[in-house]
Amino acid sequence: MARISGRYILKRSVYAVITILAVSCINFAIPRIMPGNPILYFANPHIITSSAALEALKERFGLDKSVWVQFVLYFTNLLSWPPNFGVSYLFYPTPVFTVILQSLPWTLFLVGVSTLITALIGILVGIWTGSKPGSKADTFVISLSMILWTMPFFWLGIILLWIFGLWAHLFPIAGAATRGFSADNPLTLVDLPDILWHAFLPMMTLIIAAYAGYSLIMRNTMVNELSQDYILMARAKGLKEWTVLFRHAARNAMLPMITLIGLNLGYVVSGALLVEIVFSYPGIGYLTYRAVLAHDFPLLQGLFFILSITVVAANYVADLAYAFFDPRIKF
Amino acid sequence: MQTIEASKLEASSSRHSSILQLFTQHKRAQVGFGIIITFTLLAIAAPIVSRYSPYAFPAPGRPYMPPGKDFLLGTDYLGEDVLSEIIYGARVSMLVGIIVAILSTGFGTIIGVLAGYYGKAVDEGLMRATDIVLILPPLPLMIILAAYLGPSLETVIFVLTVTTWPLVARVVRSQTLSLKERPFTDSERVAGASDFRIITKLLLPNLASIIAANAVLMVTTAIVGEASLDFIGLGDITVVSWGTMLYWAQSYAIFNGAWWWVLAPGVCIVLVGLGFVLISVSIEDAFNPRLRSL
Amino acid sequence: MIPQTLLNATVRAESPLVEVKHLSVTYRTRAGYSKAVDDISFTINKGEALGLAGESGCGKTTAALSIIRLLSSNAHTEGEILFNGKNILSMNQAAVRDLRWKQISLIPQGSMNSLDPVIPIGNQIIEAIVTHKRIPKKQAWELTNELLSSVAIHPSRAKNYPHEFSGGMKQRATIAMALALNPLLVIADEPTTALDVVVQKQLLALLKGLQRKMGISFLFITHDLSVISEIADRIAIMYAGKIVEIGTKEAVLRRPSHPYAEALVNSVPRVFGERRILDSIPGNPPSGIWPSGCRFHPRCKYAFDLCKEKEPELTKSKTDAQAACHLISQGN
Repeated sequence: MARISGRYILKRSVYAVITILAVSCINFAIPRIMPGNPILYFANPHIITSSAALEALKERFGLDKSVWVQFVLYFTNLLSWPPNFGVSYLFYPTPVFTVILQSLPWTLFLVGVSTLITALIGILVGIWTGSKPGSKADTFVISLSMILWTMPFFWLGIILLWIFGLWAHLFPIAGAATRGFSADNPLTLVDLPDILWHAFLPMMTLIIAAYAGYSLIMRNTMVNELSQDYILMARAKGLKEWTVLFRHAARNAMLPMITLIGLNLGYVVSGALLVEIVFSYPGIGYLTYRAVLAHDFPLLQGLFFILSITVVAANYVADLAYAFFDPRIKF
Repeated sequence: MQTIEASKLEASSSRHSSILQLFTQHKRAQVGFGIIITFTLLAIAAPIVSRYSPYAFPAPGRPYMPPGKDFLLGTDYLGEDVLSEIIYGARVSMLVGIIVAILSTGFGTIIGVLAGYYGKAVDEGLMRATDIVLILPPLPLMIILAAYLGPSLETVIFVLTVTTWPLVARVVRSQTLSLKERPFTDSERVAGASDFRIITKLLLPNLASIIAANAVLMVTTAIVGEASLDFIGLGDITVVSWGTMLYWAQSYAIFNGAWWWVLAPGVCIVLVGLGFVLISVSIEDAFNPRLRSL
Repeated sequence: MIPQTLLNATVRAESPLVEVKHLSVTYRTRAGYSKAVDDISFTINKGEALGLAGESGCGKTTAALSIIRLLSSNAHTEGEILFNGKNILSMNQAAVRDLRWKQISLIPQGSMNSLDPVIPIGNQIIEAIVTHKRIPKKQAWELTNELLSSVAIHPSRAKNYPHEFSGGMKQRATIAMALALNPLLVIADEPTTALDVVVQKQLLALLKGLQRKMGISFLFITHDLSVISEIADRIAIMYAGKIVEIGTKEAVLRRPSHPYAEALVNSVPRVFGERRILDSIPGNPPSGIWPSGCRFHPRCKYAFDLCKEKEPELTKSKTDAQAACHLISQGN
């Protein structure tokens, strides 16, 4: 394992911060450049009908001030703790940030565990098929991956839900846990089996569909690594095949895999959103769905921001992990 | 995404012959084209081929009828014929897919070529912008844009294009960069060829195969994307497409046991998607034999 | 003290270390079958260096790698490879793995890529040692440091990664690793090809010295005749999957019997002596589809009718070498 140079960390950190800033600006700009009356994005027109009230709200949200003032206000709100995204319509009067914070852990759980399992499967299958390219097993896996890649995540989810949830009654069809949690009655380790039971189908869907995105590239990476000279050397040294594959080939193939995970993260998160909707899993995706239906713009804006930050953060971690594992990186 | 090494500058005649070889020899291409042509013909000939109209009022059948003699794929919650919905839906889904692919590839290619060719400041600027869009998770971005723009077909097309062009730009840019390195570009420049001429006469023809392969792949992405947006309710739900079918099916099908209503659109998406993937893979194979599995 | 060279000379009277008998290797590819090595036979005696020379694609690497059964899975091997009397081709996997590195080691082509980029060099050497010898880690490290010193690499650099070494250093480290277990045979596949001439000379001197000192047999593969002349005792020339001439260094290089060998020798430019136009061999070596009769006949300036029809066998030439040419068998 290599020591990561301080300069590299700095460079990556700066990049991450700039991206977050850009996302913030986009978030600021979108409602203001979209067609229509901007106030409607901050106040629910179904509840507030009098024009006087609308004017008052306009003043309250600072929409009557100049764009620059609004910009400053926006960032001040953002940078305070807790970040002020406004108040959600759907969960009035709970602040948006609080609402999101309750759902975020579930999504992180779903995506995190799925990604790890998918990566693991990707490596193992990649090793298996990469060491015998062109074989029947290889062709089968490639064809399967192609079909899975064209399958919409949510459709797969519906089918699994139907078969294993409704028809076979093996798994629950909604929710993250059987009982509700609150501050007085928090989540404990005892709840773990129940949580896993609920998470099984959504995770399975996510893993199957996400695997399709990884498998081809992982297989190609393995084929590539296995054709390298150092593999020949490893075999020439009399190492067992198992050692050659894992200690040498897989270790090297892991590097592009880390990059791949980072690049694919947006795609996997998007998939998770859809899966949550199908399984009514109380994460960010399901929240987004409800926000869309309710035209809860403050919530939507907050969700977009948090989600983007999460992906940027994950990429940042992936970059650092890559540098940690690849001794050739120096900056 | 696929990239190739344009190591050989082929005369256009030999390229035409290799494309023809693609059709006749490659089984994958044949299957792919078969699927796509079948669906395209069905879509175009929808009024002739389809027995009922999916918008028929009153609906031809009773709701939730399983597949049978009169309704080959059963009926939906209103009693409309699912098969007719599939055929008419093909029009919308495939059209949206193709339009998005064209727009996205077009725009992405222009950005990519400009960034790759002019380099330095232009490259930096364009790529920073691209990267920012690239790193954002696509669905949330689409959702938030579509939420503001209102649900409609145009929104779907716009939003899908916005989230897919960056990848095209990246791929095209890296290919342009590697082509730029080759001596033939320098010799053209020394001979006094203008930038425009170099780009259009020299670079684009050589980029053509990856652009084509990626564009075809993009159609699949767009079709799946359109379905996803419809599913959430951000598309135009009054129009019948495979995505909107799933939107309605999600709410009504499961508890009424109408599995055919859920299965049919999904299978079509997978088939058509597969068709385009196969074509894309064959294009790529034909131009880069090195990637063929041993 | 009896000098090692004398000892080696007497040992030579015993049976050879390696006996390759009628070795053929066929690759199964998408495009069909390709016979890379076609019925070749040679021997390597204890303590001697056999040079295997030929153009790219003639099958020399395939022949060499087949000795330790390192060919890819689509290769089909026929014939016998006797090592100390035992046929390697009929051994089971475990026996072959045991044989590897302990008795036969490999210095591969261009160590640019032969070392795992994510593992420090020292650890890779240790891996080779520990796989075959049950010695404690500390001892293995000491041995590693000694080996590195013997190839003029400071032991402190054992912690470095391959990309921190220069090309020459990497190759020297690989040589050190190859000798770690005192093997009987070292297969060196174009070990100096990717390096500049100065480093080349150093490495060859190193190899020669180590060979003399430790009495190791070498199978040295190269396309560069000048390199071979430095290190080999006997030379075998391969063309299109067959051995066309095999004999002592003096015989093959000074008075080549086979037209191809002659052409090769003549195409090496000489630094000293009178200036002359370089000879080259017209055409390209065949691949996959062999010409009828003698495989070299399309490019041979002595070719006559029989050459197109019948493949020549290896026969003894005037220099006591073996050459496959109709001119020889016709008493030329």
